[in-house]
Amino acid sequence: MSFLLQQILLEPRLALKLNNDQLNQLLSQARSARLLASLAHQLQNEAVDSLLCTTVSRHLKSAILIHDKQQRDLAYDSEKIKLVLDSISERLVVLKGAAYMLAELPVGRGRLITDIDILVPQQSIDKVERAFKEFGWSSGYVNNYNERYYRKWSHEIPPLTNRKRGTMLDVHHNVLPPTASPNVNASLFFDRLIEVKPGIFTLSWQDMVIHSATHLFHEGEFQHGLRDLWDLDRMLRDFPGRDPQFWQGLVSRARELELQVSLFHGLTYAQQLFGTPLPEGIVKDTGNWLTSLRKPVMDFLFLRAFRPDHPQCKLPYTDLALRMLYVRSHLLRMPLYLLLPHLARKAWMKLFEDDGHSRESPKNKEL
Amino acid sequence: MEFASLRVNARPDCLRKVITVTMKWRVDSMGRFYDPAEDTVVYFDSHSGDTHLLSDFAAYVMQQLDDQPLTTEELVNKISPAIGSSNIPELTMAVSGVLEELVALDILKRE
Amino acid sequence: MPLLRQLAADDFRQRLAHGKLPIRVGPYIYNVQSNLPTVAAGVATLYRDFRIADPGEFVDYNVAIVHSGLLQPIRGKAKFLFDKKSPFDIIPSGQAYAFLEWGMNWCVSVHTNEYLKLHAAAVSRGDRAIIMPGTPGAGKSTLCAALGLSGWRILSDEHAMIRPNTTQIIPLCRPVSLKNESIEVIKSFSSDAIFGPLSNETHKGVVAHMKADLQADSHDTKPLQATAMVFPRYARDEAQKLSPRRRTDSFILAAYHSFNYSLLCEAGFEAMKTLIENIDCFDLVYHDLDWAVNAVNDLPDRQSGL
Repeated sequence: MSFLLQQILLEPRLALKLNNDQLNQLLSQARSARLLASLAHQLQNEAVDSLLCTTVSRHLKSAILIHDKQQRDLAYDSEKIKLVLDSISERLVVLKGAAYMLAELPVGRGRLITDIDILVPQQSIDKVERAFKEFGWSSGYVNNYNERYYRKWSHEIPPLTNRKRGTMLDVHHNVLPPTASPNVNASLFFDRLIEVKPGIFTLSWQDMVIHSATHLFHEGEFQHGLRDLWDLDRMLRDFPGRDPQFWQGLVSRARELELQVSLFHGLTYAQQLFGTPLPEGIVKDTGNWLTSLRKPVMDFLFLRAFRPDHPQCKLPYTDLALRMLYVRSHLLRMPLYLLLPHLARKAWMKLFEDDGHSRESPKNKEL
Repeated sequence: MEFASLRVNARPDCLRKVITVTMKWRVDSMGRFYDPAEDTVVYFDSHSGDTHLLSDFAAYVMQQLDDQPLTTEELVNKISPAIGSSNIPELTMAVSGVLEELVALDILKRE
Repeated sequence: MPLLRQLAADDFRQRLAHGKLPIRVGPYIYNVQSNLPTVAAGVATLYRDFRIADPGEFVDYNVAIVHSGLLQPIRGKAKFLFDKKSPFDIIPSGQAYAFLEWGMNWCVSVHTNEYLKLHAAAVSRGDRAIIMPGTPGAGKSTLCAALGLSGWRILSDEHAMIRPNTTQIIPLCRPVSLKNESIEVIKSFSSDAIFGPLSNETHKGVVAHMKADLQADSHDTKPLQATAMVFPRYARDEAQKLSPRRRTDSFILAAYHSFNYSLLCEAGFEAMKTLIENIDCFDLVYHDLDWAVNAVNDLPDRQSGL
């Protein structure tokens, strides 16, 4: 059962047939899914936005303004980040939204980001963190528990903030935590980087798709689920044109990284929700008997999770599906013996603190 | 944070340490000025997106670097007849101070 | 389009409970929903002279303050919803009305960018329109309320919305938010002040809202030309003074108190420049409200801007 946002993203001209009530719902769903600027871009591309009333189009323009400002800030901030990394002879490798925008890809149009994600080799992580701190970035307050979680069990260090500009930086040394199954060999990504601007690198097109699918299907929280799937759809429509070998190598690369299950889910759901054109048989190639067996359950979980968290879009049992996925993804990140104390601890912390990251918190309960 | 609400103290009588440099200074940003003939000027830096409150002297020094990079000495020699100051050491101190402040604001770069 | 007060009491309550109450506020339409009696009472009092939008009109913001879940009414908790999602934490029911107003402010603060938005009150009288940017605690809302009770039209308590490259202020009149001692100060200032429900123990203390649309033209949508910017500051122990303020300083401070100056980049700079160079700027230090109102009344006239 399709919902309004899904229909209009795929066929922007249909927006001209909507009445004001439906347009209100459309914008509401788009905001809910963090896709308002992407929707605005789609409508702009088809010259639909200029045909809508100003009462409607002002909201779309507003979203585009926010995206444009982020793009400008990203250009400036990435220069500064590069200076820090240059000082310790490390390359600037950007991930996710920041990568899409800096590489000026169609997937980056209308994309909104909350922070900048970069990838560094694991052995350099301490050196990198020290360098950023010398250049005016700081971790802010992270309570002891979250600090330990990051250092020991995560694939990233606590977020860094530039004190002058307020920019937030996530420094990753892998795409999945070391406790996760599978255990990804991050050095493989470094073998195939693409230089998209002088001194600024991203993952290869195939790795970008695989990373995006992995990030989505291992995540605990699906507020960005639909947005991430839209990203996948945009990439899968664009990258084959950039690299004639794109499809041939995609599945084998995913197997090399041991991330073929995530890719399988990514391809499946992108096609189901957005009709992403895929070569014949590729989904079958990516999957195996286990994915086929699990498919009805996964469909139940994921198709609910990908709808915007909006009453008009929710299917029955969505809250149950989201809870199951949250536990599933934590299971993927952390084995059960680590997971249960972790979730219990997080719940306990929520009662007493705003969040484990940025606020000054005098309390520091130890269980 | 977007603002350096900075009153750059750059009158010729300021007691800043003289920095002798032979490298050149250049403007690192494109920007816009709002100059309503008060002793401060608003400058919007298109590069960083920051807005600054500069002394009129700092804005004037910046504008001398519009066409091409200059050394401190070249700057001072250019400015001195225009502002009617023949006290070169004092003017050099003032200009050096301003230049350092503008570098800290990411408006100027040394090259 | 009927006025809210023209709805029968039952009809009003039903519409509010089911989220079918689209209220026109300046250039925007808010669809408001609530199943809390205090919120219904507050809306009925403070929005009685606002227009209900026609059924086919485009609604800009869907806002709601509701008990959700079976236990929330018993636990005395509620949620503010924007587009049916909760951007804030659960709130005590006793603060519900304040959160509705803050939530409605938040919609404009975060989501609209066709105007340069200053965190400022704006008032007008005759052909004068004054913008009053405010640091929290500076007393802009108290002064705004007092001016509203002294014959000035309140254009906005919170958002001075400026059409770019003009000096035009777009009216966006909603109730004035007052805190703590200011509530009693305004009650003493004039018996004409009409208040909505009190919200206790909010993070800002006690909060109440004063009906702001007291003039015949309070709901006119025509823009007004700004003529002055006044930075008010309440200071019990300082000499009262109205003095000119430098334009460059005013530019910076107004930009600092703007919701979207930085977001608009060059367009923001140009919009602020056009505004500031065509109006006069002042500092107003006061501790006596009557004195402050007179000082604003006596502001020198200026030729209109663009």
